[in-house]
Amino acid sequence: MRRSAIEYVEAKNLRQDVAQFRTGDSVRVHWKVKEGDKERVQAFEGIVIRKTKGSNRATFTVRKVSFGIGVERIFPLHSPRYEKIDVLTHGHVRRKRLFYLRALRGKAARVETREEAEMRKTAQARASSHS
Amino acid sequence: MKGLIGKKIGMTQVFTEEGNLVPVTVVDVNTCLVVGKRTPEKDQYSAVTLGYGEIREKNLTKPELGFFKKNNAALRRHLKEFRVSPEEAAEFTVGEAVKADMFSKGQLVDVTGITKGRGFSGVMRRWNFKGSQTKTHGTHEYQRHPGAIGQRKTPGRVYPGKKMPGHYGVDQVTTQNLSVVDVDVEKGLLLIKGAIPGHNDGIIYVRPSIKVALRAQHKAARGA
Repeated sequence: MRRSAIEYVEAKNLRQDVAQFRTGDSVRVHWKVKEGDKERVQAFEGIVIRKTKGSNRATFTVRKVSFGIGVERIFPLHSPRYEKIDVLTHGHVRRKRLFYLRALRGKAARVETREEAEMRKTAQARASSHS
Repeated sequence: MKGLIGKKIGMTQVFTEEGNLVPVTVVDVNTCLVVGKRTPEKDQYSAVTLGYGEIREKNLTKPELGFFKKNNAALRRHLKEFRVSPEEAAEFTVGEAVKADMFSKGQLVDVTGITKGRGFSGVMRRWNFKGSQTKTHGTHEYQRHPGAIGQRKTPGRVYPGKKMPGHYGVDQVTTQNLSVVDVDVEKGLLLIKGAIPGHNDGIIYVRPSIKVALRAQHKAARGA
């Protein structure tokens, strides 16, 4: 009874057009910004370093490096405030939360895409079979 | 002052129309109905008695059962009188369900409930004392203590009402001016912004804000 009432309230809040992405993916969030009575769309582009679960309370954190300074933004996954989420690349990562990126700079802070990982693996397999 | 009896279901978050994420408490008011009335002629005051929560006949005592039989109302587990003016009381009929639409979106309400029991608590939990500010410099086993409780020979006693450890919780508490975020008449749910007293599944009373009513009264008196 208790769960069902809360689930009902939360279900009414869910967005139907939520983009499919995982941690390590690069995304562009088209966030609607209100300025006075005007509304415009501002894009925030970066790597998803965290996704939290929880029905309509789910959030995701996007990290980017802007002018040498790391910037992280937490977005509610079901917020009506964003127009859309573009998934740019799929990352190949071994863990669910990429907090280790905070300590890294420049080239080290890149995340390998799934295609790159595929290529690297086939190249490795070929090299080992020849020897 | 009208009101409703409800049950605290639990907390979650919802998005408002502006897209803001607000914390809400879900309150169930499904089985709320009028089970009786108090009239000035018979009882020297005017009120409506509301009932909440279904109960089987065998679980009621005979005097309780007699009350429901006399008023010809469905059996209810929790009863509460709400003082209303005789004019307001005329809007209610015994046996009729009271719906969540008594409250509207954005309205301010007062919520009364019984707080969670915390047992015998120390001063830090019970009265928000700061505790010891240092763990070293000779302090020994004194981190959560209250410190001194009085002066010296004058007055030579502890003042009444001195904040000390003791039983905490299980008090009736009213949280005032909480806004109603959403009303779902069909499902019998109220969404109230923020936290309300008590544990989940606890019985609570929701009334229109008394401060808003007093302010309106004051304004009317000044305008007249």
